[in-house]
Amino acid sequence: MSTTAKTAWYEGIKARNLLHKTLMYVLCILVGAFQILPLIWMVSGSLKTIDELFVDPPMWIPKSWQWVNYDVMWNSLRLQDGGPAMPRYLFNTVYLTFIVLVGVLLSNTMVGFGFARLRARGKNVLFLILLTTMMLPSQMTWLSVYIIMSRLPYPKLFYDISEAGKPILQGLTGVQFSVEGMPTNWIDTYLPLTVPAFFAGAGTVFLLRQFFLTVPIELDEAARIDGASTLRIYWSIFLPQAKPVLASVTILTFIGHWKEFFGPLLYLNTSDKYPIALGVQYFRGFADYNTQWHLLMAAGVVLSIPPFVVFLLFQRYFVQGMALTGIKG
Amino acid sequence: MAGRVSRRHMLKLGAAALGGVLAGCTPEVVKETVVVRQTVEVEKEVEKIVEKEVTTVVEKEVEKVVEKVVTATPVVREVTVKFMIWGGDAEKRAWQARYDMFREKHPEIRVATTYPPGNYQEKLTAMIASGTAPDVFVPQHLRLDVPRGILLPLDAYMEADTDFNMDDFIPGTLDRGKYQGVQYAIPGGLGPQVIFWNVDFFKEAGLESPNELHEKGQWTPEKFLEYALKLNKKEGDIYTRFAYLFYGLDHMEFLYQMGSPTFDHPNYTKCLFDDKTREIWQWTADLINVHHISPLPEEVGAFGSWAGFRDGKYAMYISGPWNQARLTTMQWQWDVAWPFQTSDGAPCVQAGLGGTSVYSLTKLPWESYLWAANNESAEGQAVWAGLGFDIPSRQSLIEKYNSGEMFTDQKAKPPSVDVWYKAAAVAKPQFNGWVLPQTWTVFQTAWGTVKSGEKTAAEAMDDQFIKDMNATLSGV
Amino acid sequence: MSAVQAVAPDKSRRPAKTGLGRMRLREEREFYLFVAPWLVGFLIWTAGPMIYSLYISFTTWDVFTKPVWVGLQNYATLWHDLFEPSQLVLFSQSLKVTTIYTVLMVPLRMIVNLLGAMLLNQRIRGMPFFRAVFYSPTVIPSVASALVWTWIMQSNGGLVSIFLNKLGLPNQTWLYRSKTALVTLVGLGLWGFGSQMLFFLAGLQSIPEHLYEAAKIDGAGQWQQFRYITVPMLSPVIFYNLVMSMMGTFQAFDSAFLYTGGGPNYATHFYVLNIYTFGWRYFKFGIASAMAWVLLVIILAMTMLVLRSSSAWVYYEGEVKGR
Repeated sequence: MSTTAKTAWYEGIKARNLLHKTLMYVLCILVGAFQILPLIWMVSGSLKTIDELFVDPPMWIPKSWQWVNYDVMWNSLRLQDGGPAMPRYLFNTVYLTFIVLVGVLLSNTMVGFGFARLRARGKNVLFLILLTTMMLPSQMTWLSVYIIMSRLPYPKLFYDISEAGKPILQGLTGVQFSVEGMPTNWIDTYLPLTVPAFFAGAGTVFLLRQFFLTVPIELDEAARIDGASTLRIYWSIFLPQAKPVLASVTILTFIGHWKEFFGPLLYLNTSDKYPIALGVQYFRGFADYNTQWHLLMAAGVVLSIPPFVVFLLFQRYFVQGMALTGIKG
Repeated sequence: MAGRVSRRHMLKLGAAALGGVLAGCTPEVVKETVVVRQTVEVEKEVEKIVEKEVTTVVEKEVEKVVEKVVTATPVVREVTVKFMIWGGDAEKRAWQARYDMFREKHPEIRVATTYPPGNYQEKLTAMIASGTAPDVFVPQHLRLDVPRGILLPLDAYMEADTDFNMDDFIPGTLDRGKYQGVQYAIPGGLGPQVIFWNVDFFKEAGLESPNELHEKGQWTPEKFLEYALKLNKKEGDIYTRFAYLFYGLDHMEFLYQMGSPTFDHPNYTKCLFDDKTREIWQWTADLINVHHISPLPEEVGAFGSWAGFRDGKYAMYISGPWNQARLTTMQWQWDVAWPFQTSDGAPCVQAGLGGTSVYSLTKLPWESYLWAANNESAEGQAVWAGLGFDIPSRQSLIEKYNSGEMFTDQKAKPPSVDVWYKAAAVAKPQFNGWVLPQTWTVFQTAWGTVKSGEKTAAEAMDDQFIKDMNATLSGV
Repeated sequence: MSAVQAVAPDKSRRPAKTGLGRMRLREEREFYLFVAPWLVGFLIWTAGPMIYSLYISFTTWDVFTKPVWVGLQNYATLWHDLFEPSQLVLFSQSLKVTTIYTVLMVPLRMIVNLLGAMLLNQRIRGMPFFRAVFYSPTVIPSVASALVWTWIMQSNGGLVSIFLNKLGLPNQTWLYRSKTALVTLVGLGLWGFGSQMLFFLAGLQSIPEHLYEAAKIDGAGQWQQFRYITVPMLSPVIFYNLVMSMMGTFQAFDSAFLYTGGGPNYATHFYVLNIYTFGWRYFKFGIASAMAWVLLVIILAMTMLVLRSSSAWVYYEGEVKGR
């Protein structure tokens, strides 16, 4: 091939790449524009007066920017003792989400690893049972689950720890906590919302099992020859390998529990204990009676920021996963 | 206050409590009451203890009330009544105002309130089933809840309570909380449906006021349609204003106003719809489909409901008093008028909502009753009515209400505020408060097909429909 | 059971001998230790409620009073409804609606999410931003998105109607007509990417680049690369998404609950919406539980079918050496 021909061939590739890239950009922007519509609308809604929210045709840019909405939203809801409610709600959500995340990541990876990599009698039956638990609509089972939770005794140790921890947390975060009596059962406590996370969920186990099945067998065979224990293989080989999928699980769990509505609504009776997703519902009135949509939108914006941050932080592990498999190959 | 109850009252209370409990319990009902006590787990031995339980239940009720009455003179030990209610921040504040009043009268009773911001019925069911039920709550449906045995009969308590003053209620309004003659809920303020109308739009179209027409006896269905056609507004092909808004329950009011037979009141076990009902359905649907004086179902989204009236997208809007509070920022002048006149001109009153009941197995029946009653005392009703959420059902308050003294915000008071009270006086109960939920589904689905124009009223209300309605009414 | 074995060939039933047998036993013990969290949680919170709901399906029960044993009566009512559909049961209607929805939704949703993931797998600048944008509808509270949807879909002056009017067509009324409502819900459901896209993306990122390079050198085109590298390498994720999506779609509830309430004229009355209505609105938990168990059997059968077929098309790298 002559030099000129080579250059022409190279230029051709470059031009094709450029065309390809432009096309991708156009597609990303077009599809993205549709996806981001609700987000933009929510942000603009949070800066309007309530009357501007309902003009027809919809108004995308507020006439005057109502930054005051954020102030009202943050300061108007009150706890039972009259203190500001929002910081407490936010704290509750962060606390719940964090505990659940730890539980989900620990328990599901273990169970998923077990199903994917260890051989045992009864394994397939158990796996089928695991899948079957997802096939019965929760509408028909949660009442029984609630009754079970109401029968479980509250451990004294938990109570002592949480009461002892309150002054420390108060000092750290500035959020007010009141002293409470020892609960008799799990109702109106955080236990029904956090403890089950440590006992794995069928969907996530299934996902992780699928992922672990794709990890090349040579890896753990080599480790076994080197004398590594199963626990070590799980911890030092499989978990690092699973970064991309763990990133997805983290994102999904975080978002799911950050927005969680039904569980806290069911199990908590004291509104001071509500997570923020539930607390902001007080801007609604019953049957849209007096619903303060502009404040609801402002709360929505604040509520969406942490999940976005988590998404942006964890999505880079997708790329890292690629780098890892590159080494492997 | 309990200290003021005399000995004579006490005896009367004991007898009444017995009577009330027994009256509410036919043999089958008693059985069920007992099972609720056992809730989910214990299933054996129920049969054996039925009789024993019945007598202990009754004895306990009486004993408890009597005991309270006797011993409550000085402030004893502080007790906490658990209460569950829905609502947003605005309602929360109103409940707080009622609670502050209550605390002044009863410093020994605390009320711990749960405000679930959604799924009230599911949560309540779970709490009752697991034995963690609140003492005072909003019943779902008397026809379902009473046979389940979860509501405490309240007649005895109301009689014993010298503060409650039952005679002050507008006659008949307490009936909304009765099932087969026994009081199971203390109903709240009233909500008769009347027409909200935009005074400026009527003037602009050169139309007479509906209030004047009503006086003259000319506010008829025909007049309504004639006016509505003049109140519609179009720009090119697009409607910018509709004369009227039909919402979910609209056709029910029309059935009432135009004199259709409905159900075998007060039993609600049979559907009496006939050709006249079909005619009224068709006429009502034609208002939407043919005359287009109201948005089609698919157009409502763009116009909104009450907000649409406030924003001048409707000239008329049928609603209860809860909308007054939301119209304080309206830029046009508005008023309320009677719904158009038919044979007896009676609009309908919300029957389902607004009452609270006491849990049948509460450990604090008397205190729970006091809290439920407090909310419908004159002071308690004034809180709600003052916000423009409903109109009081106590005669002593009506006068203040009509003169506008009660409103915390005068903009929530329509010029013809007395229409409310007059309407309430002649109103009939809304039947969705009495038919079972499944009947309601069948009814609304059929109406939906007529309203959208997919079927004629005769097609939708065929023999199968009547058969299905009757089947659901009998609870099959 | 054999269906599952097809997915992950299990040779554990080999008789235990000598040192190898001991190792097997140890591995078995380790397996039960590793899955213990799930097993314990299952026994505490899941097994009981499932069995109880099975029991309830043979009774009539309103939660508050004692269940009354009726034998197979609830199931007989459902069976009867297949031949004489009644709006007082709605079993066959809701089953029909849900089946159509599932048949349309499962493949379409998977294609849309795979395309989205492939787009987000491109190496261009600002990709983290685009990924966040694509995922944003899932992140923001549903209040905001529901309001926007009302405006997009409203017939008088909504975005879709404006577009149709420009083409000289009348306003859309799809969601409000029994003939079109279900298909419209499918369309609404396809808008917005979900967790499926995330899993596809993670899967795509895990495919070693050298495979594509080798294929390019061998002269494979875009389609061939997709067909012979992307699809097989992605098959475990596709398998996962297929099974989960099937379960999820058969149990679809939210969109009908939010947008149509099951109407008009039961056209979008999804199966689980019917279960919910009979249970939580009418307090007929007996028949609602029977419906739930029929659904379980249907989904289980479908899942077994997919599991059985999977040995033919799902490729596990970790399995090649016979685990």
